[in-house]
Amino acid sequence: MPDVSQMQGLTNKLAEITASVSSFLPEISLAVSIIIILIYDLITHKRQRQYLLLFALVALLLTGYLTSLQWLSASRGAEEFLFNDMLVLDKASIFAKFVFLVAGILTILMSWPDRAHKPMLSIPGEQVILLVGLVLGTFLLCMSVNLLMVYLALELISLCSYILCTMNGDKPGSEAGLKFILFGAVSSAFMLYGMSLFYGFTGSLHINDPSFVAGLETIHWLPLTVAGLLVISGFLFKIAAFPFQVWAPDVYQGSPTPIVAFFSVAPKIAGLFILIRFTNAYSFVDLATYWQEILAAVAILSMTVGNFAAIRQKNAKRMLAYSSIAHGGFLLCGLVTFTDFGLSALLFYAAIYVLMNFAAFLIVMLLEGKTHSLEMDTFKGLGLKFPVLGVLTIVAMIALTGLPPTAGFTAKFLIFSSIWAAYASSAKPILLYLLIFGLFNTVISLAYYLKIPYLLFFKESAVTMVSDRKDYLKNILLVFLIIPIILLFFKSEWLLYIINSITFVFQKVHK
Amino acid sequence: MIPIAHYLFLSAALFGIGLVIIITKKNAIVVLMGIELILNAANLNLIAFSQYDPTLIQGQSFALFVIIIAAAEAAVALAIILKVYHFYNTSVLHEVHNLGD
Amino acid sequence: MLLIVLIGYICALLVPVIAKALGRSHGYLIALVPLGVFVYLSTYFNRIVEGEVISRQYNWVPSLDVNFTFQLDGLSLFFGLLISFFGFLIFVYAAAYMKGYKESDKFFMYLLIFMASMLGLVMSSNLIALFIFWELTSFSSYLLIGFSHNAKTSRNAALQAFLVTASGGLALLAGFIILGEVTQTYELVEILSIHERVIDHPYYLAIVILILLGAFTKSAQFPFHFWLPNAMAAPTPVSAYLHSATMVKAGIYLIARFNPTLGGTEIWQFTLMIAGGITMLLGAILAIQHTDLKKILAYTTISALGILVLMLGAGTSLAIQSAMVFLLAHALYKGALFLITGNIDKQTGSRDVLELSGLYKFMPFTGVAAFLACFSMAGVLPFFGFIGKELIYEAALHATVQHIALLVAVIVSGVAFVAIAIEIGYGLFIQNISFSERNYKEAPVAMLVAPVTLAVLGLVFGLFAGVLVQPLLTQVSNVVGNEDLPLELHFWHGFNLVLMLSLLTLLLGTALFFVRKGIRKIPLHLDYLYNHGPTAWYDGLLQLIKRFARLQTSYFQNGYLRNYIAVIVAFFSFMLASVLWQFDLKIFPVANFDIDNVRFYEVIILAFTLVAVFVFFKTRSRLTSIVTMGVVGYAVAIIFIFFGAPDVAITQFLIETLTVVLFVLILHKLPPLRFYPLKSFQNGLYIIISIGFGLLMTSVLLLVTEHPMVSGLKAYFAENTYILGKGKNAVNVILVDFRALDTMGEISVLAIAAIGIVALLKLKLVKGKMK
Repeated sequence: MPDVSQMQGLTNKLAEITASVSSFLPEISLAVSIIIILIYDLITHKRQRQYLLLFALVALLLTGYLTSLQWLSASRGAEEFLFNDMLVLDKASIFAKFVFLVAGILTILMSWPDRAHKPMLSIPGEQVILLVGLVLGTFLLCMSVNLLMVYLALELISLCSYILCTMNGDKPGSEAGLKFILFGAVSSAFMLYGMSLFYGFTGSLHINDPSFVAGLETIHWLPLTVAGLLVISGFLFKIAAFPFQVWAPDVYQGSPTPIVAFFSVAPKIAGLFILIRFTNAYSFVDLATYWQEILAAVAILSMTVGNFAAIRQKNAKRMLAYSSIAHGGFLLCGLVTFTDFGLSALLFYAAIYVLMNFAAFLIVMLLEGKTHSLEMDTFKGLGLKFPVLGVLTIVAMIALTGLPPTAGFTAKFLIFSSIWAAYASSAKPILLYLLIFGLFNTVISLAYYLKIPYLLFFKESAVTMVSDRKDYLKNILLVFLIIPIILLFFKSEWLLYIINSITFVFQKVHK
Repeated sequence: MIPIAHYLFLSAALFGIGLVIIITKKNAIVVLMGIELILNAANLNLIAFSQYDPTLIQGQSFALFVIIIAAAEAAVALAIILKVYHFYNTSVLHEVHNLGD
Repeated sequence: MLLIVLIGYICALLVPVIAKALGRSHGYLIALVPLGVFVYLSTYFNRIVEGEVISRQYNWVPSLDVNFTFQLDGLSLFFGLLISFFGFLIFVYAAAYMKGYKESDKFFMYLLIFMASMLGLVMSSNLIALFIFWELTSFSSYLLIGFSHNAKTSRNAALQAFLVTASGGLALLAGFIILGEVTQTYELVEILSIHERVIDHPYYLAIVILILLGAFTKSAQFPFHFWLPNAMAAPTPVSAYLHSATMVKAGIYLIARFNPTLGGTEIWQFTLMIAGGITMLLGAILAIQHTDLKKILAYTTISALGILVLMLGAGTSLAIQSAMVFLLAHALYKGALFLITGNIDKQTGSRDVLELSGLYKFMPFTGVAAFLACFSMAGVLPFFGFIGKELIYEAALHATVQHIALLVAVIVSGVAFVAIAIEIGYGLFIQNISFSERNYKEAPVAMLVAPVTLAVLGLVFGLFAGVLVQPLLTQVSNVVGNEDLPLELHFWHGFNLVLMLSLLTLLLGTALFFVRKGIRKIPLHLDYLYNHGPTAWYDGLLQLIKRFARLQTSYFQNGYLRNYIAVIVAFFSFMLASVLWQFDLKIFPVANFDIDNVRFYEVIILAFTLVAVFVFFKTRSRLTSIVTMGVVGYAVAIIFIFFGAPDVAITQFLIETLTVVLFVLILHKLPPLRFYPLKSFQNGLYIIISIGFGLLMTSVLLLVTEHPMVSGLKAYFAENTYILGKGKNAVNVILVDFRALDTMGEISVLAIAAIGIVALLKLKLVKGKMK
């Protein structure tokens, strides 16, 4: 029989779990809304899609409210560990949660059905549930500090993604789904194997625990590198970074556009978050410099592979898929600096990236609505027919390239500055290469981002079949995405103020 | 005390063979089985290492979760394979190849 | 001052509205915008001439030291006046010129955006703000060059110009970031005050190279000159405004602006002189070779830009003064000539100098403007161009390095300029060769105002240089040279060496004009040069990029899972190999196989599992696959029991059974597995990769056990074997049950999976029904 002290420990743990619940309200609200939507979906037969989407929207807004309460009550640099050190609640993760919520809300608005449009949702109930489930998964992942929790959150995201991708109900969707799940399962199996090794190294699963770091310090470099590489497989898969980028183009092409827009943003940023937390543990070991070089190589290759492949794409969604791989590389650059400035730049980039990528996908959706095709050649001359849409497209593409006057420029500028600052203070050549490749890739990306405005304005329309259907909601949404992209260029201080109030987790062991 | 070196060796072998199967086999279902092998290898590690863990439970409970979630993942994968079969009449990977550059 | 910049952008947004309200003549109204700016800037004239510097700072991102800091000194005011005055004339001209074009409102919109960006560029004294305006000028130039978007050449030229200048712009940004890190500020004024630190800094070279890359691409210096002649596909007002008077001078502005900060070193001087010298000669030679009037002007512009860079590189105060004077002179006559070309093109439909002659009869006003401009270009007394040329010769004579070579080079280009001036002034308008029936009309008044004004100014400035231009240009040169020196401008210096050289230039130029046809026939192997010169490099680079893109896509993205996995494994191995390189080489540990302690049943299970796995790998029967997979699963479950984890083992048993059943059910629905033998080579390769990886994994694992891993724990373990193994299992189970969060996570995952599977299968039914 367990003795008294053990029982005492058990009671303490139970009390801690109960106490954690109050800091877990946003996630609980998401989980509860999944159940409500599920029940609603089961008991109604009419399947009125708007109401399901409305439910989800309300749920996300409510979660947003709860999250903002958390933000307000969280003080600078404070961290709260929940559920026996499973999760950590700090300002950085709350910031990330806002990003995911914005992405979720935008996805719902993008899939809002308009009259006469081919419905995005063939089986609405499940799709909405899965979307909310995805948001929940990203929430959990960005807070995880325990390998078990990391695995669970990652699998939650993955399974939702696999099913959402396949659910389109058509041939490309199922093919994309198959490639997606097999590749994803392999990388998550790799990751799991790596995690089991870490458990062996340190006897702990808590990646921010001093004992975890202490365990790493005693380990030979070879197992440490192998295990580290295996573990980041799963993260890189979510970020779609080299060499785990291959699923992105097929999945983006085969899945519904709003869902793709979400894929391209939220899991990527959540994956970056967990990579940051994991790298934090590594930054104490002798191997840290080398680890930095590995991540830099991943960043460089992601940018290069993404951009070069994007050049020759004809399908708009595939092009954006490769572009998002390249952006993953740019986001990684912020992490590779291993400095607080770099991480702030990363957060800024992430926030802007959400806006501009959603804008890009929305544009693709609107153009597709006009020509019923995703081939970029069919977009010829549309800018002259629809000048407002054309101008908004130019702004979005300039932002993705990273040129002024858009916040995309500010984001790239911050990333480059942080790399240079890190190089100037540490003189590690790899950081210099990173900067050079970053600039070089920006030049390359000019070529294909400008292709869309080029086609829209400089070419005569080849297709006469242009549907003139007005889609007010999406147009308004697009305007509301473009405004902050320009506004945050002139007033980047607003966002920077928020980001500067976040002290990042880097170079710090907890407790 | 059971010496764990042998089991770790077994786990490495499972991992290696799983990898070989994933790389060399062309049928989606067989690839899935290869993935199961790697997961088994990971579980073996977790259980073996958990012997060293004073509280004993972390590795074991991790393994427990892995077993169940892996099953869920396999089920989803099989459902998707069924759907692919519905469209392509095959579950052989290189015959499912319409998307791409 | 922000207002001056903003007003351009705001008006640009209003252009479509104005265009709708006013119809075709809206261009004239819009021309009031640059005129207003010009008048406003003129009010600062007296203060600036007295040496005052006016600056305003608008906070933008103070935490990063990025602000909109505007500064009006001699140099900015000079450029500002140039931009707004030219802007006014060009807008008036374009209002008439663009009448026939569709969407001329967009044209004015782009032009206004360009003008505002250009004004912002010359007035910014914050590096980042400067870069932003820099890229905006590139982008608006892209839109303007591509304006006649029906022609493929203009589309390609637009893209080419943009790629070249925007890439240069990014180099500039990199240079600015480095400069900012070195000096800890992005404010030019502050950087100037500590410029010694910059020059002595180890990153000085990188900064110079990057910033000059930006300037050279923008100002069409060799080897980036090729985009400028192609950009002539733009409508003529654009060529006159952007590609001769203002935008291409932005690079010159940048060099001038940074001369006090970065200049004075040999690297700076020689880079500028070499690039400028080559560009100058190349432009002059190519200009003679062409017969398309716009191309000729483009190459002479390149040559003139080369002279400017060369003079800035020479670096003496005289050279800097001469550069600034020549800049103004060149803007006046080249702008006029472009507009005259526009008139000729519009009225006759041709731009080929071989087809045109005797135009004076039909177009007297255009002709007069052309004569005046050509005199200035040729450097004839007392035109302003003469003063510019005199100063350049004098500066070359008194240069500190290589003055003979410099002098010869500038005279060569001067000779070419004279020949071209005669070609245009005499050849086009007076000489009468062909007598075919022609009847051209003079251009409308609006299209005459601008060229005539510019050409007349070339004379007026020459006659009254001391009064009209001297005060401002003195300030300009002082800003660029960072010292206070008087500048005296007269057209008459008495009979001296420089005047003799000028006369010599005129004579040689006239001679060149008469032999030009012969020269055009001399095979300079231009085709060879074009095929192997910078244009070909640009095309080759594009091709290379495309080829690389294709190659890497076909390698990394070929759709085969096994290839993907192989890439991952290869990547990992590469990473490991490079760690290996940096650390010691001990890979294979001595395994601590403790044979004595192995029990019989352990051996059996281990052997059993290995055999099952092996069979699984070799089998071709689907049932055998499933069975062996199940066997492996069960064996693993038994091992769990060895390790004292009965609850995990039970779960494993149950789930394994479930999975096997599931697989059987699914396989039941699918046709028999077909097995495709791989090519043995491929197969072998993949197996080697996998086995290698497996071996690596084994050695890693053995290293783990060999290591004194958590050694304290081992002792603890030894004491508590029995309890840990079985005794505490109750607690164990309870704790597992109370891991609330994991359980929630797990339930979510399972629920999602269940929902998904149901949905997927339902989907299939729906589809089935539809059939």
